[in-house]
Amino acid sequence: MTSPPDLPATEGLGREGLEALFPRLAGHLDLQSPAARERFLVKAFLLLADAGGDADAALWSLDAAAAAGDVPGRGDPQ
Amino acid sequence: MVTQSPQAPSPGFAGNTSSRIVVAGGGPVGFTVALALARQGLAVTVIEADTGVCDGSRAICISRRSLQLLDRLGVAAAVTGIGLGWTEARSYLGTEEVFHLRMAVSPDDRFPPFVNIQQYHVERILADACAATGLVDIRWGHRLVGLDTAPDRVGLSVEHDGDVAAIEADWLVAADGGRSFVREQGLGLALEGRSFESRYLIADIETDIDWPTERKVWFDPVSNPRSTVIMHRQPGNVWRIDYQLQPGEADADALTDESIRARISSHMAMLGLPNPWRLLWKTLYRAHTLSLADYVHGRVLFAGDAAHLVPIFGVRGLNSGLDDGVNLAWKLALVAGGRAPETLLASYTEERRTACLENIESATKSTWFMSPPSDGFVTARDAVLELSVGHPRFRVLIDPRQASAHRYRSSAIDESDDAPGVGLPLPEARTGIGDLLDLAGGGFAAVVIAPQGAPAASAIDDTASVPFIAITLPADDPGAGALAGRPGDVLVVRPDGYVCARRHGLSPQALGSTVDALLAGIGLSLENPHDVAA
Repeated sequence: MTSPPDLPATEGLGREGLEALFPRLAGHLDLQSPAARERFLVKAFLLLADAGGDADAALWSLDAAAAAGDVPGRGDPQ
Repeated sequence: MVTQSPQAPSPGFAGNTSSRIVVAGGGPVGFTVALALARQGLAVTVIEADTGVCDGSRAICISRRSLQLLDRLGVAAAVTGIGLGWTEARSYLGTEEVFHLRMAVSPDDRFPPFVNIQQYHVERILADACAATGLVDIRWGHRLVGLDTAPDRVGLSVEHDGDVAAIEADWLVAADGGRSFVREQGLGLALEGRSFESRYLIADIETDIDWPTERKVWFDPVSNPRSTVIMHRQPGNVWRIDYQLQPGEADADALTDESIRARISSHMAMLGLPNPWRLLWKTLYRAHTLSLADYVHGRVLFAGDAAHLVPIFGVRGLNSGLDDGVNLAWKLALVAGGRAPETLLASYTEERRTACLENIESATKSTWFMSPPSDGFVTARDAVLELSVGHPRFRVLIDPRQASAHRYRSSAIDESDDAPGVGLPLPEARTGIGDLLDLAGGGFAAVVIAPQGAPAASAIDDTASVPFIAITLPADDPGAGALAGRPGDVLVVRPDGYVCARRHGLSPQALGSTVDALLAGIGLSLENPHDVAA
């Protein structure tokens, strides 16, 4: 298992941002293949979105990772 | 001078008390409406199909705001005397704690944030209080079987012991629950919104567990994999256990004692609790976010689950129903008593439906977590739970978003400015002459902030169109501090405890005129009761 990514110090999305992101992410996952619903990818997405504050870019990353099928550094981001 | 003692009856404001008011539904909301109307001298008939109070724990978490309402009706002490107060909630992923909520408490609080008490206790307390007024006629075992409405009356057909009798009423309050006869068969009204697929089995068990009273939730516990389990302590060595059923699990199978024993025993074993236990009550639950578009249909007024259904997650069901009941009762008392036009009732829908929509918005967020509606939500929820172990900032999504007092931001009968405290309930605070909520009583009240060093006082004032309790607090009184008050402020408090108007610089010497002016300013010009009587 790889180490968790080094995330920049940030306030993150905050409560409102996370609450808005959560149903959007869930709805997005419902439209994707099961590969995109792998737990480690979703966790990576959440960390990426929270660190960068950019849900659109993070969703693109999630799709790209799922489409690739074999993700470098695949692991369990904790 | 203090002439108003704590818990003293508030001055009545209803006016003519000859209206015939029927409440359909002898549950906590129906009895709350009946008791609040009786406190104004109005006679009420309550029709309840069952022959006594409910069985099972049902709605067990009574919020601080609800306790304040029950206090205004004189029954909060009975509820807290039985109930178990709590301030903390914990959530676990498996057995690892991923969220710990500590709710705000202060030494000035009269009540804890929540009290756990079985619904049948609350119903019994309210029914006894209704009966003690001598004004509430409770008809147990009477089933509403027909409804006939007209612009100025409601005709009811009521069955009892095989006989059907006709009852005429001027007003009907429909507090007959989620499967409301009045709503469905009587008026053919449909609730709007959505229902969630996921189901919970709810069970009361009797067992002796020496744990504090907290809300505890386990996500995906080894005792019940892919399920969510909730535990609440109740009075009398009773524990409430809610667990999520699996998709495809038949209702009938889930409700068998054998199935329930297996699931609960597994959970008790996981918790290291070898204690013997006994199953007391069971039911099935599905979350709904549904509401009527309007809670006022001519002379028929809907309250509680008859008007709206919100998920149990966040305990906004009964608590919002009690707020419905007290909000409706004071307005109906004024309208039925000839003191205010029927248009006042429009504000009941406006305020309480807005509150319902906010409750639905908040409870939906909790339901996504507690009862995920799709595979995507399950995956996202599980990812958040796992991340929360090492990344605390994600824990806000696990927050159960417990019920709290609603703010009436744009009510037609509240001042629309942003004056501090307007649109919110009068806060709990100690003053130099007693508890502020005690001083305010259960009717209208006005709080005047006087210069520092002035004497604090509380007295009934009948110089306005409606009697009220006048409370004077010097600016250096802690109660004035709780209101962010400065000398010259006047606040008007409604009978449901909400501050509805606030102005600075009005004359405290002519307080009756000031109160009338403030009430008129929010569209509440009351008819003179003497004119009505004449």
